[in-house]
Amino acid sequence: MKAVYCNYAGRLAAVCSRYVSVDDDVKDILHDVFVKAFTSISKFEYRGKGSLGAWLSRIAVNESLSFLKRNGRFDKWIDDGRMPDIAEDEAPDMNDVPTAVIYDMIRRLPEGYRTVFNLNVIENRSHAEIAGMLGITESTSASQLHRAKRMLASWIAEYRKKNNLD
Amino acid sequence: MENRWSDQMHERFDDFEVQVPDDVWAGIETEMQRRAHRRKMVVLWGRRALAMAAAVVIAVLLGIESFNTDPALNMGLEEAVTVADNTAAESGTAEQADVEVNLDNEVVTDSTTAKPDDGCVTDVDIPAKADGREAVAVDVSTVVVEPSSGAVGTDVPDSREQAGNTVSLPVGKQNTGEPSEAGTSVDGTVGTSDARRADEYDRNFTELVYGSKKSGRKAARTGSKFTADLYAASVPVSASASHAGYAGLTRRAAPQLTAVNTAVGQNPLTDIMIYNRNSETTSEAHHRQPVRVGLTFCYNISNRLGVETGVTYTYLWSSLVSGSDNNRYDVRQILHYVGVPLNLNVNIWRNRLLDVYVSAGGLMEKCVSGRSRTEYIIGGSTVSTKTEDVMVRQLQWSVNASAGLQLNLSRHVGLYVEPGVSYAFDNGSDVETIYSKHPVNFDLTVGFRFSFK
Repeated sequence: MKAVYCNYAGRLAAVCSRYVSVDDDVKDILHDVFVKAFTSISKFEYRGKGSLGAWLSRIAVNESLSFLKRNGRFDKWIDDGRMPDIAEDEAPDMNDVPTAVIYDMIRRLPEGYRTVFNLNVIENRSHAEIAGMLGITESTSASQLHRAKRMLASWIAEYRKKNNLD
Repeated sequence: MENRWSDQMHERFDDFEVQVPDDVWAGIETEMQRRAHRRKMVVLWGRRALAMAAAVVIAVLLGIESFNTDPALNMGLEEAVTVADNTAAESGTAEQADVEVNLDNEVVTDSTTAKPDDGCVTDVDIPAKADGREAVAVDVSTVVVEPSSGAVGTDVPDSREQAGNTVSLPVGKQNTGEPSEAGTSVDGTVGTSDARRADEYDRNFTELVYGSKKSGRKAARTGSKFTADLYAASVPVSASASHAGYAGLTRRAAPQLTAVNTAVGQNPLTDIMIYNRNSETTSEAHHRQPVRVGLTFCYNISNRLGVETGVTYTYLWSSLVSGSDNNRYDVRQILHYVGVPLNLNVNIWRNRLLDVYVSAGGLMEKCVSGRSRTEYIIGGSTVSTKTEDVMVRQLQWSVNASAGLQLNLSRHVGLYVEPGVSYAFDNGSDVETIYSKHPVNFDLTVGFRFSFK
């Protein structure tokens, strides 16, 4: 058990932290993630390299979402009615921005933007799936994502300017 | 463009790690230990509950055993008699009317037409022929040794003289010219060689031991007394009974003599009766605990509930000793039953290795084969044996409740042991088994179970 913990704790903590911004909450969620994993290890079927990591990751994401749902803030997302820009958001150049910085930026995003961004961009979920998981509409999901990207993009640009990376 | 976002994020965050405080592991470890401890507690409680349940079951059954003091009635021997009660002898003729004997008239008829042996009075008198001095068809208790008659063969053990049972086989011949009385002459051979008699003997024997359909319950009730003599309910003897008089492993009337002048040597059974005329006879029947093995298939209709059926094999063994110490017959009866159970299993607790559950349901069995071996002992030594097939035509239905422990050999196969209680319904069969003798039973089944969803 400890071996699994040591191998994956850091990674899973990172996953949870992307969703939940308060560190103490992350600790609790991490605890739940491992307990859940250890008690239902019989349901895990090894399917090759990385399958354990992926399985644990899935548990981490689910636990994080459960936490967020329990604290009931999804319904407070405001759709301000403005249609998102049709143009695709261009990913900014972030090569020279340290990952830790981007990680902080993600954590600073408002909860709705953050959740959808994580689920779509990193967990590769479609808007339909996200809508189902969070109990929102697809268009809300899309607009949240769009706004998340825009915000991140502007912060990254700001960072670069400040650090003379341009 | 989306892809750029996605690719870049994946690149950065797939293996991204953050610092985790030390106390997180401590909390996880504590939690896991707590859960393991809880599981152990459940096991302990499960075991304790099982032990208590087993104790209760055993106590109940011991209670049932000790209250079961009516064996003779169970055996249907309303006419259990004691030979020593000779006071009824005088009322022999009066008994005649209500006597209906096991050795029924068939026997009588046949033997009258049979070829009589020299010097042997082999005729069994037909009741209708009775006159004052002739023996009438009576049961054992009314063996007539009429004091007035003096025509008893001198060497034949006289009822008045006979004390113990040290009878020796060959006895004096009787004067054939006279109406025969108690005691008869014998030609020294056990069982006549006449083929016809052999047949007759077979038929008689079957009827004697297993009862004939015609036999009624009207046999003499004089001097009925039976003693309940139960053994301690120690496994494997599960049901036993003893009482005075003769018995068979059947619920019909006990074997009886038709007439006092049945020749000794005609068949061992009547010989035994003759020699036991003035002795006390008892019968003891033991029905051993059935042993059952099963192969069952269980379909899980939910996480805890399963419905199962399968096939079982049960081995029933009964033994009977009837007569007196020196002259008696020993019967051993073995029956093989094959059955189909239908049960509902409720799981109480399980882990990877063990399942603890309770089960309730019914069982339908059929005796597929049976054998009975009777040994006739006269004068302390075996004079003949008789082996026979036993047929129980009726189905045997029973209901049961049990607790079970299963060792899981794999996800679908388990080895189980199920102690339980069952109640067997009367199937109206003539053959006496533990099911008819003792309907409520403690039984133990072991077997393999295949479970599937």
